[in-house]
Amino acid sequence: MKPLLDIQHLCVDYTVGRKLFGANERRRVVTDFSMQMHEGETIGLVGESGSGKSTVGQVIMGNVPVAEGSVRIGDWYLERFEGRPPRAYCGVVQMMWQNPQASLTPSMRIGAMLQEALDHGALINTSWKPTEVESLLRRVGLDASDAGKYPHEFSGGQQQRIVLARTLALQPRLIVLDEATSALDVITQSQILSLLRQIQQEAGVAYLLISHDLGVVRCMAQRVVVLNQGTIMEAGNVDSVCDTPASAYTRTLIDSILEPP
Amino acid sequence: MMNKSHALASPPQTRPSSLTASLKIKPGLIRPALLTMVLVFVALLAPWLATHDPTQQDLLNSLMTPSAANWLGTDDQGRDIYSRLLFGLRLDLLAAVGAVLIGFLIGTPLGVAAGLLGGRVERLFMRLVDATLAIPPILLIMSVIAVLGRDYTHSMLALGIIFSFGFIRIARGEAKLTRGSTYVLAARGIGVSTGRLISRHILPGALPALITQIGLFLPVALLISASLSYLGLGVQSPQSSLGAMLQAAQEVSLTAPWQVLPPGILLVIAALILNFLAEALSDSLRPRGDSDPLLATAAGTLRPRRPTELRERDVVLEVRNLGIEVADPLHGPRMAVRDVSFALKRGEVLAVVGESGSGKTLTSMAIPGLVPAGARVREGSIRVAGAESTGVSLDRLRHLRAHEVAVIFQNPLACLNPSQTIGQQLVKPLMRLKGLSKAEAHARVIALLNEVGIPEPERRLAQYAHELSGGLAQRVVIAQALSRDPLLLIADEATSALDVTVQYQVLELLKRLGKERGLAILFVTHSMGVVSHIADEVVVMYAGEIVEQGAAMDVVSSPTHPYTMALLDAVPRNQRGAKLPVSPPGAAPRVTTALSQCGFAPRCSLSGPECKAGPISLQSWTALRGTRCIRRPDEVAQLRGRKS
Repeated sequence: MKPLLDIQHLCVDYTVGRKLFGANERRRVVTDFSMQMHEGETIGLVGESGSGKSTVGQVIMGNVPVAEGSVRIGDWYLERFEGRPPRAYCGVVQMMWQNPQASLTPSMRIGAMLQEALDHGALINTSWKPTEVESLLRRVGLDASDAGKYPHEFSGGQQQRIVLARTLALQPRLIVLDEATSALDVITQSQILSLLRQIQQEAGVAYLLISHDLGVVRCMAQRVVVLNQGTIMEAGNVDSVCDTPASAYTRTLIDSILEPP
Repeated sequence: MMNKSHALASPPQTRPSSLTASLKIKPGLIRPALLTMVLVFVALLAPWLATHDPTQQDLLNSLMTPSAANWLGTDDQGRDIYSRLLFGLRLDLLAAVGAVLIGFLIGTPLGVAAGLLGGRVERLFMRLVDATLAIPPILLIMSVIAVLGRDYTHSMLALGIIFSFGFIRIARGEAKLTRGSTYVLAARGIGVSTGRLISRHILPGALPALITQIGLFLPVALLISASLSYLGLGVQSPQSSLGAMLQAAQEVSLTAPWQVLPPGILLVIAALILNFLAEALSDSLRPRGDSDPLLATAAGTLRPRRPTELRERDVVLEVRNLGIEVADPLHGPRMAVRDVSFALKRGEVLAVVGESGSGKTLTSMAIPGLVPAGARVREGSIRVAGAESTGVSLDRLRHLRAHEVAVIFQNPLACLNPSQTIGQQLVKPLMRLKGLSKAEAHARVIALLNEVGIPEPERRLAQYAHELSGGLAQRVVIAQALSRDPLLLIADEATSALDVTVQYQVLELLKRLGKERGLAILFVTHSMGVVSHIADEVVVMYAGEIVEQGAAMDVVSSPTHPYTMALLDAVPRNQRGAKLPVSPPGAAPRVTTALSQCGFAPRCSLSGPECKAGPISLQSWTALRGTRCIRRPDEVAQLRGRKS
């Protein structure tokens, strides 16, 4: 079966210094990154800050250009995008950020925000199935009556549910979870993780789980990719990587995990 | 599943999020709004309120003093001053509002577009705006009028163009701010079109700033319009304007000096009302930053102290029956922390665990007197090395903070001064506090940096905070704290923002320092992993109360409160075949007040009617352990067995 996501030898550069004349100074932040991902699968992308894990997520979202290599998602080739990805691309990939409050427009009611996403879903996604705001809210464990409220009236966990409902409105095939639960307290985090798992079973959506927490990755993902300074240290089945790490870096990461007995 | 049963949950923050929401609650806006409405009604109703036709001349009755027929007298052409005032105000207000609206309507879209486009287009455009702003406004107005002819609509247009530059700058700034925000990225991520992005996601956020600016421009516009009419560039005779009336009055100032009074006074009143409105608008719409969380508290009123007991020599910190009251603008004062007692000895690490809103930070910050404005210690006592630290003078608190209690926070880079080198920040305070010479202080700092494991300390001294990684910066902050030889170090989520590997190293460092220096460490955290790694004693807080306390190893390995158990079970494990943790439904309350039942009961699977009958006190099921639960530990343990 053709994988949903196919990344081959991806390299990403950031501009570090702008020059008045001549080419801007660039720094390579991701080097020779390859991975495949199938429909409905969860892959963990693990590393420390500065490892390039969020950059990979941004490339998949089409926010950061591909410098070298190729990235294919469904029928879309990201290296062919010029500038921002076309609007229809939103029907394929969605993203959840670390800070849910910051990702919701403070002046909009929840219902309006979800309706907006539903309207776009219907417009751009050819395989889109009709849904309404109320059923979206119920699906993420909120009340239909919450549609009339503003984001600040909700707790962090509820806000993250709203963000999830909005991504689901577009019925994407892949959701990039960029530290989506790391700002939540541990009980709320486990509630959201269960919800994500349940949604995956219902909708068959794939998750790219970007996290620094190997425990979270272990519970959620089938495979894991360990990234350090922009290069893949190790990749494979989550159990084998975590139990018998091949690279010294992965071992350091695992040894640093603080777990209650 | 999140359900609606958590009766304790209250709205998280009252941050004004939308324009309507922020306008609704501001009582300060009522009076200026009412006054402005009076002004507007007078102007609107001028044709009905006026007693005469304002343009009707009666040269036989010029410069009359007030009478029953002409309430405020007549002017040099025998026109009724009262009626001319009303019509003058009407036209001047119209010109002012028109000019500001024109400015707003031209400036906002241009500014938002510039801010969103960014890059070269924006830079070029903004330089153009700057250049235009450098031309004196009166010159601009004169040239517009020279081209279009004298009329108040033309001066209004000219003024509008000048105001538009102000709106361009503000709209651009706001658009630039929101352009990079996550919610705009998120809206783009779901494919929102640029037009909708501006109208629904960006403009509402920018409106408060723009409306404030409208308010600020209105009185200015009124005065400029009046001045232009005074100069003969605005409203033309025979139409009435306050400025034109002043001008006419000036011509007869020798024969009838009182003529300047009616238009002059009305102009002053109108301008004052609009200024009043502007001030109220900017006060109520400006995003109200949460007040500085680290303001010293006023000395709290304390209940009569219990007889002091004999203390162990090594006890560094003793908190007894601490109660902290927090001001809540909506519901009045609340006791956000209640009946908290614990003690901490030399060389020991005590962890205070809880979610946001549990009162853990409030409790720990009360020790050096650093609770946020509006909060104060109401009950109980805090003793540092045997000396009371609540209700003491600011001088005593300063001494406490300088020599006895040091605090380190989550974000080390925010704690270091970005404009000073590390050396400046470490050496100077040491010279002042310990009375050392520069060379001595320098040597001490180098030793400290070595002690906290910073390589090449000499080189680091010359660096600035932004040149350090998060882990190094936290080590510098720790060194800074240690430089004062404190008895107690309070670490508030001090490793939560660090990478796992760095967190591990910093925790190891703190552990070692505690042992080597006999330093008592109060570690505030939400992570049970951190607790099990570093703490000797633990205090678990929920809804402003201690729900469990005891030796960390015991609590972590055999919790006796269902909440502690839930906290432990929710940690995702790095184990083969690890299952998703099952957690209690609902969320922890964010702001709490004195409880009439068990605070955790709405979420607890063991709760029964007896848990909701009244407040639960701390029980001692086993020695040296306190648990705020009426279930026996073996009952609670069964709960855990059932789940796994």
